[in-house]
Amino acid sequence: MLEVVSLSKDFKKHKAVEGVNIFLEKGETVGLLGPNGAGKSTIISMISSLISPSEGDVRLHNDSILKHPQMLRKVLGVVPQEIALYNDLTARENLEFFGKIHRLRGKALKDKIADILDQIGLKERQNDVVKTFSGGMKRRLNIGVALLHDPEILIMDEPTVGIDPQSRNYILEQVKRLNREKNMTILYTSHYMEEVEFLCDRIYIMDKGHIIASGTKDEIKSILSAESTILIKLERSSDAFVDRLKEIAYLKTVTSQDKEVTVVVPKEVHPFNQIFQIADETGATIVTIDRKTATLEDVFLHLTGRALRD
Amino acid sequence: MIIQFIKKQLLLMIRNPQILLILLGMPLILITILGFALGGVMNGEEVRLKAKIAIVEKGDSGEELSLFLKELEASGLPKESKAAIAEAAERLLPSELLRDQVLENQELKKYLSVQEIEPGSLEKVKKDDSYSAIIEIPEGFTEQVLSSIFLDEGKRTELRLYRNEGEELASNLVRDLLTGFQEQYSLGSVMGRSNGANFPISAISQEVKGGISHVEERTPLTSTTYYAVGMSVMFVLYIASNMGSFAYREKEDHVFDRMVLADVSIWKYFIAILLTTIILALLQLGILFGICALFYGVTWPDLTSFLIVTLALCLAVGSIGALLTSLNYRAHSEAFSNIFSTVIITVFAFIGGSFGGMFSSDFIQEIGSLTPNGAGMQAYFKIFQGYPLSSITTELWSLAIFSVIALVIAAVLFPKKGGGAI
Repeated sequence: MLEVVSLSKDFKKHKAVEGVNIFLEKGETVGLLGPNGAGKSTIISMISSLISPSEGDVRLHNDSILKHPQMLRKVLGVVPQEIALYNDLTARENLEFFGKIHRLRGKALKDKIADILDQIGLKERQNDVVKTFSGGMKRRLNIGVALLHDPEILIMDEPTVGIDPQSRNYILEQVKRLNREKNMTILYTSHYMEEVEFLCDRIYIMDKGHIIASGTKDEIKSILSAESTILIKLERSSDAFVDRLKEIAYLKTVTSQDKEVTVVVPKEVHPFNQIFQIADETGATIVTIDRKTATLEDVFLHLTGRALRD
Repeated sequence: MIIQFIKKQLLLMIRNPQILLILLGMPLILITILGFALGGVMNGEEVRLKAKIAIVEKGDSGEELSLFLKELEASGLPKESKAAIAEAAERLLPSELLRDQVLENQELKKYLSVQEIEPGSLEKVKKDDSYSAIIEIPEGFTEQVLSSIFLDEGKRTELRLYRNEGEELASNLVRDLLTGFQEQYSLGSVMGRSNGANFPISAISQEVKGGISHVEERTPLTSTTYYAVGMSVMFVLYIASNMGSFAYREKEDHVFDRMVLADVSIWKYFIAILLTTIILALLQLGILFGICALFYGVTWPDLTSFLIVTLALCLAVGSIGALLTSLNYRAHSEAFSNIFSTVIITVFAFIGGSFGGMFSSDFIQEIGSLTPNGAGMQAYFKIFQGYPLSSITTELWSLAIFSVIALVIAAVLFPKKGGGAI
């Protein structure tokens, strides 16, 4: 349905995106996962024709939309990462303004607004100005505005940034429902692994402007099928302990954050004894140690050597 | 779409007390304060304009007349002419005419208070600020004027006028009266000679009334009127800076991206900014002038001309709004709107005359008349004083040319690609 082909974008000397290929089939939810600055928003801006790519193409049903963006705009809804609303207008006034911008009028507009207010759970607060809303309510309205013209494809750029868990769950459930009930094709970007795991059929993992892995959740996790992850929690952080672990050749990756140390090892290796011995020698006290199955977070760690939220 | 823009912009402004205060509160407060505080300086009500005049005659008009008659007798003119001239000269003593026909004129008495001063007191009176003007009739004035007119002899002589700069309006009135008197006296004399000595005294009197009549026929500008116009044309410029800022924030908040994604063309957006600014400026001026009409009695004699000037001014404000939007988009900041609202409007207000004529330099006044507020103000004043529409073509052209230049620059600078690319 929608295809991104060898898309690149240069900002002066900085390459924000390079050679990215993505495709979306009708009715699927695709995740674009990557840390801040990976190039996700730039890709979304290019797909939405808000900025021009330096190279590559964006195709809708095999037709390039770079020269005729109107073709895509009719069927595309975009939920930007920013709260793109008028803070001094009420929720209803915002929906009315943007609805009319989308050429909706009269009863059609009225019905659509009522439907959206219902979907985003803001019926009771429709006549309150947006600046009085909580972060979660603003995010929900931000999504509602993107749904006014019944888009076939919805691009959501980190729609849950900075909100409370309750609002986050509400939004995730709504995205699931849109996909399930309206067969909407969704491209969902996030740096929250659990959101992408929960929502998406297929996933693209990005880092530094490149796609570094793609496939279904299971396909991506299979990258780590020959490996497992050991999580160690220390009483106090210890650089000496981490440095000694890094010297062991069969431990593939060793990373630490404060008192937590993560170690990726081949599945057949059982290094618990050696880890305890190093702890004794370096004076580190292990509080817990646990071997777990691979997550997307582990995959990202494995591919980039960094945690997603670094 | 334009209606949606205007509605949205109106709601945003109405819900922003700070902007409302700037656009409506401040001008009304300033009109009230300046209009009443400076009422005594500028008020056009008749009783307020009172010129206190000192008149000093250094010679003796009777003796000088005798001297002239002796010169006349010694001249080679026919006897009949001599008799006619002698009779006319007695009736046309310039200093007496000035007193009787001008300074003591019934029509002018309510504006003038005249005091005869001894020549020895002249220096003392010069230092007295309570006088608006001093008229000095030099020694030999009567004899020289009569000789010059009737015998083509004698040196040319002039009345001397000392003006109190602190009382500009009153001293200007005295100057205008004297100029009119001198011109008419000379003209009457020439006519009288060609008609054989039948001097048209009534013509002098008529013209003197005419001299003051231009003050009366044109509606006087009261200080409230002056500041109602001055403040309105100044504060309407803030609509432009506000629109520039609003438009830039729409880009910053990615609201503009939503419009691009809804396939609203860049030019439609540009025109929407222009028209919205024009209409908001019209509303602002409508409210300000409406309140001034209701509460301060500032009403307009010719509504059509008033509307034409208002439209021309609002077009200029609209183009400034579009220009600031383009500049802000180019600069990726609100800097241009901020500079305009903090520096340029203040400069425009001072040189355009919103706070009164503060600059005596013709050059600065000329520049001031080219600013939108300056041109608008002059046009409003002329309309208020009852001048016809044809008398404000210069101001209308000035506003139109300003608008076209600003719009062309705005259109050239306005980014041609939407969204994050701009």
